Amino acid sequence: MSMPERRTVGELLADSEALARETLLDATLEQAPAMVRSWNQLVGSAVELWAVLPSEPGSPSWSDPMERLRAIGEAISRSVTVGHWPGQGPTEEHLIQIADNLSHAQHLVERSGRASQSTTTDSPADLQPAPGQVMHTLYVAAHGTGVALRAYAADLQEQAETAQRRRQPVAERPTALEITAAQGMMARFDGFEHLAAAAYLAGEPPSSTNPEQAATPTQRLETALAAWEVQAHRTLAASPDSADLVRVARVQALITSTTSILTEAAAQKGHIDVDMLQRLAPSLEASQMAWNRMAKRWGELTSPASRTDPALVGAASEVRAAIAVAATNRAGWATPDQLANRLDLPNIVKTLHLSMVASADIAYVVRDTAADHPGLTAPACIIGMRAQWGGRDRNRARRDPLRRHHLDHTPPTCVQPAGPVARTSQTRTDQPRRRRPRHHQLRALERLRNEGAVQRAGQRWTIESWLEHWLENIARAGLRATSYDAYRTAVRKHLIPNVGKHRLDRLQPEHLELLYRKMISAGARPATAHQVHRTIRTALGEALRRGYVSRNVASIAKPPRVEVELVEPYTLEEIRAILTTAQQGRNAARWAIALALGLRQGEVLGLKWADVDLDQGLLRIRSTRTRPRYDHGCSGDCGRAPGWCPKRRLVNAETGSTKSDAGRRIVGVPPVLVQLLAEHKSAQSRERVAARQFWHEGDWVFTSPTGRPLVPNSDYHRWKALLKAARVRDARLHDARHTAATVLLILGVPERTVMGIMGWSSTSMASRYQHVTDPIRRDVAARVGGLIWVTEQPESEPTETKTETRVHRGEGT
Amino acid sequence: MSWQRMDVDTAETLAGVVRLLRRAAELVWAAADTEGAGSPRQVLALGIDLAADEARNLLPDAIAVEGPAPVGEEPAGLLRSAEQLLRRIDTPAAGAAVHGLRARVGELVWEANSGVDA
Repeated sequence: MSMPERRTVGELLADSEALARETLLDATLEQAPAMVRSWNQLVGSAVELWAVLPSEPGSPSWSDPMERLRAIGEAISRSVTVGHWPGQGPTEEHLIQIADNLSHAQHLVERSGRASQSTTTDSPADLQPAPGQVMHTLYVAAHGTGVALRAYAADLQEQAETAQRRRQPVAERPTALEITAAQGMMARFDGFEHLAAAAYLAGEPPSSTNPEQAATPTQRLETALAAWEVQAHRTLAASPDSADLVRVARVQALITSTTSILTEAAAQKGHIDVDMLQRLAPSLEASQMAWNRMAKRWGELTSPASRTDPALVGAASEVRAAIAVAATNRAGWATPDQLANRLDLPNIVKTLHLSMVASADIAYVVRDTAADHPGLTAPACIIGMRAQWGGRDRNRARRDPLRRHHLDHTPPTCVQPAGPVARTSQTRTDQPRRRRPRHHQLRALERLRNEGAVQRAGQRWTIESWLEHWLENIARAGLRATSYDAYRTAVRKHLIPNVGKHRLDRLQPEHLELLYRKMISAGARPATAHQVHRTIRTALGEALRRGYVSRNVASIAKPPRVEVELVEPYTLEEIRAILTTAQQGRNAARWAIALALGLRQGEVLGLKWADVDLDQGLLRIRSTRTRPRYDHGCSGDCGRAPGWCPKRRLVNAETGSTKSDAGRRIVGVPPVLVQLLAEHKSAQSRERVAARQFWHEGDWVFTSPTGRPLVPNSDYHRWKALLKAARVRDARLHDARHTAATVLLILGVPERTVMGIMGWSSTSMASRYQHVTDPIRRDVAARVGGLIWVTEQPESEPTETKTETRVHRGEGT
Repeated sequence: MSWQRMDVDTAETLAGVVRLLRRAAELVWAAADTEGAGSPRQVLALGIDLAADEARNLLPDAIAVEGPAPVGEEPAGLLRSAEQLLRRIDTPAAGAAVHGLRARVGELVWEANSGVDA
């Protein structure tokens, strides 16, 4: 026999607050599941007590903050009841005790209404603080539960990471689904806490009565939003049709758009921080798109005969009307000035942000509805999952960890449609349908888990999104400008247009091999395809390190074979012809340096006079000229490419670091070249005088007539024109560098020394010159042999020819 | 006029209104989707959807909503046609529901004509 309750309502509520605080202080991760299970009982008791507490006469139920909390509490409860995490199990004693206290308080208040004999009842004046106490209790208890859930989710995450590091069997690790489920529940409690806190801090419930009487657009919108949230929960909790889900999603998208517009206006008018706007804007946009996507997908499944819940239509109409009055004009959205005149911007933005919190819970409810409602058909469930998780692929939802958890723990409730997909949502009048087992889904998911191919929770990378993220946020910081340019071209010109839409964890080696074949057949060089291959291999390697993919498919894919290009250096005659022709134009020393010293194009163009010591005959190579990149200076309306925009602006540095550490070096300059550089310096001084105020002083060795550094692309075209004018065979500019290297190797300069002069970082480069230098070296050996053993090894004609070649080349250097 | 007492002609007219409104909503949503997140057209599109829902809820289950697809690619034109059809059945006997729906569709015609498209 239980003891009779001797506490007053005030004492019961004070005890409840104290218990809630204890819950918060003592919250441990182990208690989290039990706390979630207890939540429905606590909220139920609070709602019942709230209903009997004195309130303003005539207030409609949906203007009551407790209605919003009740709706969320019931949604959490439904989620637990149908078998979602944490499922059935023990409850948490503090929360149950609070629930008991609130129930006792409710009985006392009710009894005081019927008879006033009891010594334990409170006077109406004593009950005045009761609503605040109830709300505060819920707020603190929700906060405590959130704390426990946060610790629980973090602990699971840590366990999973430790197990992965220790390579424990998959079956022994916490699964991603458990972590995601705890995190999802945590988010819902955060929302609940937020709303309870707002209601508690606001004091009395909103005094708006009904929409028709709302005096201002602000009040009307606030009231409409509160009514909408409550009605959306009610409809979704009852017997929703796909038409209801479409309508919920469309209204939520509109509310999110309005939040976005009003937040922007509030920021412009200085009511909120601009930083806050910048933080919120991407989330709001993503949220709008997700709701609209969901609406479209459900719309595809909605039968023409289906009906939308009339109460939902009413609430939606009021939200729409309130938004139209508050935030639009004839041309579309109202301007910030108009909004500031019409609305109490700071308050309405707060209300809308609270509405976004509730919106998150509606999203969870929609997901649960789509997954579990017995009236919805199997394709409807799948579409719901697809819409919820934002992907085009119906398998996405099956692979979602949370969904998998659901499959693991819930009996199948979706039923096979009797007719075509378009009619499957006639749920309210349809005949009973056969159950459809989902074991195949479960098996597929288990297989993915065993393969380690389950996507990491919370990440949905596509190749496009990952490559962009990797390029700009991960790779760029550690890359030289030229390497970044090469990666960027591979990513944006080849990879994204061809394989960008694949999901990161779904890319197969065959996709890449197909891309390489396509590139080659379209005329690309194998080296270009190889560059693309190296880029995706590096990007996927990073994704692998971060756990976003289970393997690097680019390491498996076979890139096209790249033939090592054999070096074809110029002969002495060709070099002479080039230099003679070059003397007739500007910057003749530029070509002499290329042919005699073998500097890379960027190294020559990046030379500054500060790096040239004509007295000592030395050049210091320490930077390289980058290819200039421009952006529009006219916001892109000139109709030209950025490089041709009249107001173009340079967006990269003029020089970058050398190709490698070995590239930074000091090179000796032959006396003839020193003389040539000195003459070039004098010529440049004359140009400086002639250019007068148009001269740009940059200390560049090789410049345009106005002192600007030479552009690599123009330099390349001047090289081609020079070859044509000199009537020598066409070759790449880089072949001038090969010529210098060949000459050094033929001279018998040790490979290590050639590496130093040429700026190579490995001796493997020297092997590319073997086909030229080895026959000549053998020829030298033969000649030496001929000198020693002249009677035994007579000279032959072919050797004679090769010797001549060697001698000529030697003279050329 | 409750749907139980609605005559077949009225019901079929109302079904035509539903089809016209749904087609108009489809066109406006398509335009809104093209404009991307935050398009102001969604206010009009949602309004038309809700009017279509209202019209659908006035119809008895026995009346098939499916029928020939309305001709026209102009949302304002489709809305005007819907409003004209509603005018035919908005008699004193029709009741507040049809009357209210007609008024709302009339407002939507005005919005479609004066909104971002106008």
